[in-house]
Amino acid sequence: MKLLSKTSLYYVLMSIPLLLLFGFVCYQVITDEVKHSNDELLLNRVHLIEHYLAENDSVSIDFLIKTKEATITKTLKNNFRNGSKIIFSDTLILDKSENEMAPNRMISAFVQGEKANFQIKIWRSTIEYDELIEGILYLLVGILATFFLISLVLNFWISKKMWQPFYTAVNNLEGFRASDNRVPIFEKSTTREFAVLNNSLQKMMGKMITDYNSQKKFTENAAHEIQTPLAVIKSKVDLLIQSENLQENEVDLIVAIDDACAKMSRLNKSLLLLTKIENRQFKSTEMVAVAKVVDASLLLFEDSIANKKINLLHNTTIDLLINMNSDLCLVLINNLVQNAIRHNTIGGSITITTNSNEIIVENTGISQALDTSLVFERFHKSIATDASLGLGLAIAYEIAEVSGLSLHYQFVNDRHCFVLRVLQSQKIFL
Amino acid sequence: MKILLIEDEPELQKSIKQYFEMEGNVVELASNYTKAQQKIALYDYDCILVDITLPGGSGLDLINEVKNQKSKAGIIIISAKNALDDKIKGLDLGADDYLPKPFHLSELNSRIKALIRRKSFDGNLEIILNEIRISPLERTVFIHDELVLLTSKEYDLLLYFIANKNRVVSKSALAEHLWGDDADRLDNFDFIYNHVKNLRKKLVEKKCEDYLHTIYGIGYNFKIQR
Repeated sequence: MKLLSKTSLYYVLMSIPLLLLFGFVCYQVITDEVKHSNDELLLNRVHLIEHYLAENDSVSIDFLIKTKEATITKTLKNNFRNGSKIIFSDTLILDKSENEMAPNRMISAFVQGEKANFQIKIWRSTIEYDELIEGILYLLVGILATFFLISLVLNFWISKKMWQPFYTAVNNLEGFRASDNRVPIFEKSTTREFAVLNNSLQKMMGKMITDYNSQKKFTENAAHEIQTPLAVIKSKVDLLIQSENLQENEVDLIVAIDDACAKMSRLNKSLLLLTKIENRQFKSTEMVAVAKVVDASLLLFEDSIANKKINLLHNTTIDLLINMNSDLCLVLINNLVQNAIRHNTIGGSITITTNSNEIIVENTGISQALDTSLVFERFHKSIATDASLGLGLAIAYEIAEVSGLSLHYQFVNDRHCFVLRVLQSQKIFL
Repeated sequence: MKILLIEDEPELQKSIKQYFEMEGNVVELASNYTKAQQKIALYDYDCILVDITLPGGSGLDLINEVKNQKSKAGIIIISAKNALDDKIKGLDLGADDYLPKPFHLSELNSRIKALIRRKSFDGNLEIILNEIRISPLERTVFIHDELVLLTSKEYDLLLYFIANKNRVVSKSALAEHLWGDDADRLDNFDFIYNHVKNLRKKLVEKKCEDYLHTIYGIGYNFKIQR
C-alpha cells in the first residue's frame, strides 16, 4: 500500500471514532441545555401561577386553565411522597390539532395558597425543542464532516507535497543501475531529513559507480592479462609436441599441462562472459526463433547424444520467439542441452518441448531432485565431473535474467526439467 | 608466403614465428604501432596478423591503414580481448578473420591457409595433394579422381590435417576446431578418435596412402613425404 493511502487510511480510522465521540458529547450537552432551559421556563410559570394565586387573580388563572396550558387543583397534600415539592416528568398528551399523542414536558408542583394547597401541572410540547436539537445536531454533524473531509484532503495534499522528495528518491533508487554510469537527479528539499537522505544517496551512488567501474576495468584487464600468458603456454605446448621421439612420461606431462591450460582458458572465458552479461554488455537484440537454435545445438552435441545412446524427442507446437541477443540465446540453449546430456544416464532420454510461451528441457538422470536453491549457483556441482566447471547453469540463469525470461528447475515424474519461460514484460516488448 | 606479425608479447612472437617458418614461410615482426605502420607502408605481405591492443596505438587503426593502401594482404585479428564490438568493428574495417587468444598454432595455420585460398582465385582453387583432390567450394574430396563421401566433420578434419600437414596436431586443437568454444566440455576426445578412424578407413578404402599417424597420447600427424 502506498504511504499516502496508508496515512490517509489511518487518519480516517482514527477520526471516525473521535467524530462519533464528539457528536455524542455535543448531543448530550445540547439536549441537557435545552431541557434545562425548558424546565426553567416551566418553573417560571409555576412561580407566575403561584403569584396569581397569591393575588387571587382568577382571570389569569381561568385563562390558563381555559387554554389548557395548566391544571390547578386544590389538594390537601402539600408535597409528593418523596417529600419534594416539584417534579419534572416526560409525558404523552393528546394534541387536539393533530389528534395524536405528542411528547410533552410536564411540571407538577405543590403550591401554598392563602386558603388551600394547590397542585399545579403545567406542560409544554417538546416537539419544537426536539426539532431544535435535531437542527443543531445536523448543523454540527455537517460542520464536523466538512471539517473532516477538508482536513483529509488537506492532509493528503500536504503529505503529497511534503513526501515528494522522498518519492523522487525512491524512484531514483529503483531505477538506479551502476552500469548506467549516471547519478540520478534528486529533488532539492528544504526538509532537513530529506536533504540528508538525498545527500547520502547521491554520495553512495557515486561511490557505487566508481567501484563498479574499477571492478569492471579490473575484471576486463585481469581476463585480458590472463589470456596472453595462456596463449603463450598453448603455443609452447603446440611447439613442444612437434619434437620427435617424445617419451611416454613426457607426453603425459605435456597433456596434463595442455588440459590444465584449456580448463583455465575455459574458466576465464566463462567468467568473462558472466561479467559481460551482468554488465549488460550484450545490448543488441533481435527476434530469435528458438526451435532453430535448439536444432543447431542438438547438431553440435550429436556425438555426445549418440555416444550416450540418448533417446531424443524435440516437439515444437508453435515456435517460441524471443526478443534477445542471438549470441546469448545460443549460449543459453547450448548450456541447457549440454546439461541435459551431461547428467543423463546411458540409454536415457531427453525431451525438448517448445511452445509459443516456453521451452522445457527434460532429461532422465539421478532419481533424486536437485537442490533448487543451489542448482543455479556458480561452481556448484551436483556430481563431481571433471569436465564440468559448474558455471553452465549459472550462465544460463544470468542470461535468462537479463533477457526478460524466467528459468526454473523442477523434478517431475523422475525427470529433471528446466523450464524457460517468457515473462510478461518481454511480451509487451513483442 | 610472407606474413607480418604485429604482436607485443615476445614469447608469442617467437612461437608463431617458429611454427610458420618450419613450413618455409617468412615471418616479419612488429612489436609496436609505429613499427607496424612502417612495415605496412614499405612491404607487401600475403597475410597480416594483428593484435588489437598494442603499445602506441590500436590494431584497428592499422587495419584501416592496410585497407587505405589497397593492399591485398589478408588480415587476421588475434586479440586477447574477446570483445564482440572489437570483432564487429575489425571485420567492418576489412579484417578477414578474428581469432581470440589463446589459440592453437594449428588453428591459426588453418585459418591463414583458408584465408589465402579465399583471397586467391576467389576460393575456387582446388587443393591437390598427391592422390587427394579437394574442391573447397563444393566441399567434395576425390581420391584418384574418385569421389569419397565424407561427413561434414570428417571433411573439416581432413582439411585441417592438410593445412597442418607434417605437423603434430593435438586432440584439443581438433576438438576446438570442430566444436568451437564448446570444445573439450564433453568427452570430445573419444569422438575425435571415432571421426579420425572413420576418415582414415574411407581414405584407405579408396587406395589412398595412409598418411595419418597417431601420436601417442597427443594427437595425429598427417605426414606427406617431402
